[in-house]
Amino acid sequence: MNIDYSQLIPNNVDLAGDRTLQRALEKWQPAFLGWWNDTGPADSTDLQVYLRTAISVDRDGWANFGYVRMPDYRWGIFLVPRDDSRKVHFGDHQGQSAWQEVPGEYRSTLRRIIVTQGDTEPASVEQQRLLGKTAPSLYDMRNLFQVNVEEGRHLWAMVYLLHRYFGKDGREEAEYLLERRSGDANNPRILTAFNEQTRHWIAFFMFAFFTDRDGKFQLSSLAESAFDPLSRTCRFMLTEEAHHMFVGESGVARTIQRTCEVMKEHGLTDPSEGRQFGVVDLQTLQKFVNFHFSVTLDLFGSEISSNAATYYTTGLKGRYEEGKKPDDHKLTADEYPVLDMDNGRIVEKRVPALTALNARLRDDYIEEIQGGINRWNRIPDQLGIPFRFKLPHVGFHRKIGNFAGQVITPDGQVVSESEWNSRRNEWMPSESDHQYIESLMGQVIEPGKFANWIAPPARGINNKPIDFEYVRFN
Amino acid sequence: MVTDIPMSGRWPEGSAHSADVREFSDRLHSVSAQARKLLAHIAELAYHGRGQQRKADVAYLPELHESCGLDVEAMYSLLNELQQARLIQLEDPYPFEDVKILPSSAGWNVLAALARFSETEKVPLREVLVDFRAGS
Repeated sequence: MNIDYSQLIPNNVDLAGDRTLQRALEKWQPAFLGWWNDTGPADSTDLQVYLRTAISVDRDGWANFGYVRMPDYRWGIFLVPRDDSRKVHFGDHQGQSAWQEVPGEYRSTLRRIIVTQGDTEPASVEQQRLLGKTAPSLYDMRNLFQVNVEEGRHLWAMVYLLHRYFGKDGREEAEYLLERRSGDANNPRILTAFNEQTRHWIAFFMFAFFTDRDGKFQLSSLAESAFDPLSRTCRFMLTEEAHHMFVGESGVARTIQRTCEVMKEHGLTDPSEGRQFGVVDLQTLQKFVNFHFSVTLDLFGSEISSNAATYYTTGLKGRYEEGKKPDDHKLTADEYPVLDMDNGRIVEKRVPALTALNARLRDDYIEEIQGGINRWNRIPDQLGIPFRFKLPHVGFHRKIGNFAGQVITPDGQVVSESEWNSRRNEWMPSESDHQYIESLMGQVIEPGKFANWIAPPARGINNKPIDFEYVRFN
Repeated sequence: MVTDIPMSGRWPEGSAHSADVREFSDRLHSVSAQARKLLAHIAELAYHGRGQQRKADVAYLPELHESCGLDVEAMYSLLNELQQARLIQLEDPYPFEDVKILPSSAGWNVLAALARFSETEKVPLREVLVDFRAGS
């Protein structure tokens, strides 16, 4: 199904056929653009950026490339096509036709789910607002802006659902989505991780690798929803989210590559060395792994959650790849193992699977993250550097769930608070680590040139050469 | 099943290399439909890609990621499947890999020939590889 770009709001949902909805969204659009100008990429209005724009949701129309001024990017509303035969395939409504409207009894819960998801999209744009000013290359700057415009489009996706299916309440929530601000003490974003500042590109790449992947798992769960418009929206968002994770993984990988090359060149084997040559030492990168992994685990919520059970039973939110799970998709008689604290010790408990859905989603996430860590470890391995990245224990540095308030080392040892605090800077990025990385950050805008701390990619975008002018400064 | 791939009068180039086509067809049948879709996409980029001159028989991972909506894990999983079936090979070490399309054991590149066939006959390569609509 092609997207109608002749409309003020590009869409494939026949917006022109619903004048009331169209007017409501056209009224929201200037507010969105105002938000973009206030909180989107700083000083970017006049830049011509080589961006990918969707012109249809099918495989041929998903990726069209060309120069775009970001304020002119055609943010729109794109859902994958409706399948009238789609059935609910888990929970109490299993076997029934998927819902095309919101059932009254689930209205407030669904709205809350959509608002929470929707709130993360503008939040990340706000967090990354200043990064363009320190981009290590035009290639990376373009990738950042591609991520930013698509997070903006994901906000549109959620706002469409709020306007179309939740009436006045939905319209009000859509306005609040533009009013909250990442890190604002008085009106912050809903989730803590989205109020952390993205101070530099290491934090951005880690965020795209760890936290955008949480987004993938949440969207995948919502793509299973019995509420069909939510499912169809999330399925298209996932195609865009996929690229964001690639930006994160390859960004960290190129940073590791450069560090390992410098270490090899200078005969260094100590992972804390490398700063004297202007790269990010592997030990510091490990601290960022520890930090971003732990704060992202908190986004999955408490391991034991009656809300998660309710969402599942009522068909609002499934598991990751629900259709591939070999069980009855009701889970009323199943158990699932979770880690918990018992008298100061970490123990495994078996709990009803329905209440452990957050833990299960998180475990699926960790399995995938480990795959990325394994790939990163190939780089020092290939270059003969005796260092391997490790994920910290799930109890490390947690603020939500069974380990909230516990003091646990990356190796999973329960220690005293004073010991943890005394060793904190061994495990987590310190202020001086951030300052060192910030000292490396400087904007590189000569086509084909890259900052010293990061290796160039092997290939450009859309088969363009590395020295292509991915961003034009007019 | 060789008959899945366009044969005889419709594809004389293939008919002249029936053993290669049979081997390719066997390899193709050993992978999932998702992997075949990705293979079609790889071939389209390798043989119809735009822009700079590219390496022969090669698609590049960044362009694959940007153009097909597969995330990193899903991509590697499918690439691994295609690699095990000896349809492709990953060249160069991570994170700079290229995806090279492999020829038959006798050295003839069936997929390149199929891509030419699909272009001249105006049959989408995806239909040939995934849906087998151009069969016999």
